[in-house]
Amino acid sequence: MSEGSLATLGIRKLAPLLAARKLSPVELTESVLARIEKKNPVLNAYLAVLGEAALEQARQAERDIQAGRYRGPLHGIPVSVKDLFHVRGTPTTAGSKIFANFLPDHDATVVERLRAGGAVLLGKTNLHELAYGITNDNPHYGATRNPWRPTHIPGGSSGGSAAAVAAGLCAASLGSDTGGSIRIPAAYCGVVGLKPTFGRVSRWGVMPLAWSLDHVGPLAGTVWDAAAVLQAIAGPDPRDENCSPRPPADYLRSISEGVAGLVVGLPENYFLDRLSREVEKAVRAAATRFAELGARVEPVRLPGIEPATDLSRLILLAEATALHQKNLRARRQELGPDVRALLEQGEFILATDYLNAQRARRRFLEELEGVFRRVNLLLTPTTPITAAPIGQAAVDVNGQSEDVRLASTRLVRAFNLAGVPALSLPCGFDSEGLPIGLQIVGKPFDEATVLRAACAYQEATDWSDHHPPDA
Amino acid sequence: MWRRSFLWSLSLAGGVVPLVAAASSDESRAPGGEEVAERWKRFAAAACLQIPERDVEQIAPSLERLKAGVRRALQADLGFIEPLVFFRFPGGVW
Repeated sequence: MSEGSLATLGIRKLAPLLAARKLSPVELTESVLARIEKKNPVLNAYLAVLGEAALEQARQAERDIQAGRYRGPLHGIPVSVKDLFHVRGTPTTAGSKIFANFLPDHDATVVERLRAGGAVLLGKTNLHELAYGITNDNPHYGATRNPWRPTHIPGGSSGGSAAAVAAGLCAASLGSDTGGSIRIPAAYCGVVGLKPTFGRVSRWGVMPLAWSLDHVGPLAGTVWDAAAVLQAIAGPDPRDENCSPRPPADYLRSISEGVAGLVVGLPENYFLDRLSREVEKAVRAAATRFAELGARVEPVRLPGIEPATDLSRLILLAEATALHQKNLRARRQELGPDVRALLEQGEFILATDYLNAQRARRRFLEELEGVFRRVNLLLTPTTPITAAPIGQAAVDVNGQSEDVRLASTRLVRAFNLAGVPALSLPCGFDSEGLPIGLQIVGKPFDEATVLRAACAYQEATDWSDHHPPDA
Repeated sequence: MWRRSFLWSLSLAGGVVPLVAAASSDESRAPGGEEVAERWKRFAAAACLQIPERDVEQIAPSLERLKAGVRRALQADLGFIEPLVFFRFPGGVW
């Protein structure tokens, strides 16, 4: 085993070794820190590495495990969080020059919960400025690079988290998703990313971008690992009034139940239009695999899906500009040009536009409810393309030029509007060896079925067994 | 049933009214280069938005596409449907 590759074993394999004291949390942490030191200068996945603090947490985990106080599958596991999450005493830059010196005096709820589970926090990962973009080409802290091909974007805005997981620079990470920011980098980096139901995971202590669209969730190497992290972070939080008081399900208990008997909807409009041929082929093959595994795959239609994507964009523009308006007006020159342009667009949104978009949002939810009366899950591509080269603004999708940002987000945004759970996992590679993502969408609060289906597919294929060169 | 509780949950989100621009958008003409940019410049001026003209020129095509998309989305009669946001209920309503 090459140095530093321990993290790619994943939580499911590492946890029993740690619990049985066959692997020391300190040894594991040192190994991953050494790998970060070696790889991060190229990948730029981490903005802050908390080496000393991580080693102290690892030593504490070792003492606890030796004393018989094993806390569960995250105990002693090295993890990271996007630099949008507050970690007491460590700056939360949000990838922005404006917040470079913002020092929170508390941990985000999800960081507290990772700590309570015994996880070892290695550091904070790079992101698109203010989490407002999908390239992770950060003008202030440098571009994050895709471990599969360092000349290409990792996706964003949780691009540092996805790159870190893919490269074995942590076993799991936390990201946020306002318009695909967990699922897009998961797809482009060949890892698993889950956007849970709106309100399933607390957002307290996480810098917002758009209040009605923001979600917090895990990125990991496998579906089982993502479920283990979700189990640790999900649940009520009185400090976040948008967080549901419903107790979370036992995600790991049902995860191996397979897909026999489930009805899986394959949208025949919108989601299979304007895809790269390789993406379409991979997603259709995945649908066939689900049928072979015992699911009933049925065609469905979502007539409101295309408008929903525009509504989601408009709501995001309005809410993000409302949030950052003061800085837009007072510190315009400190913002990167793409984020500045988006915040400026938000100034042009009328209150009536915003309110009508929120009204139409109900219509889309009703439509989706109708679809989910007939199916348990939806299966779609996560993105119509694979990762684009860094700095490239447009891509060719079957002879049509399309903006990289719009192409990357057009299959994922609507599920932020609807707030339903959606997960991306690998379903193939294109001819250049870049990963392709499959999106599985479920009913509100039914993460258990999403994870169960994703796990069945992952275990029936070998896409997640592939790792980037030297990972 | 999930929809009722879920709609309430989404209605908890937000709570901040976005900027109310002081001018209305011109929805009458098809997109067309300089004309589009000029229209949004007039909008920015009327709304007293302190955005440089070169920035408006840059974002005008994107704004135009988005506004057109939203107009299409809103063609359906929304009747008495209320917006999802703006309601906060102490203790939650899930």
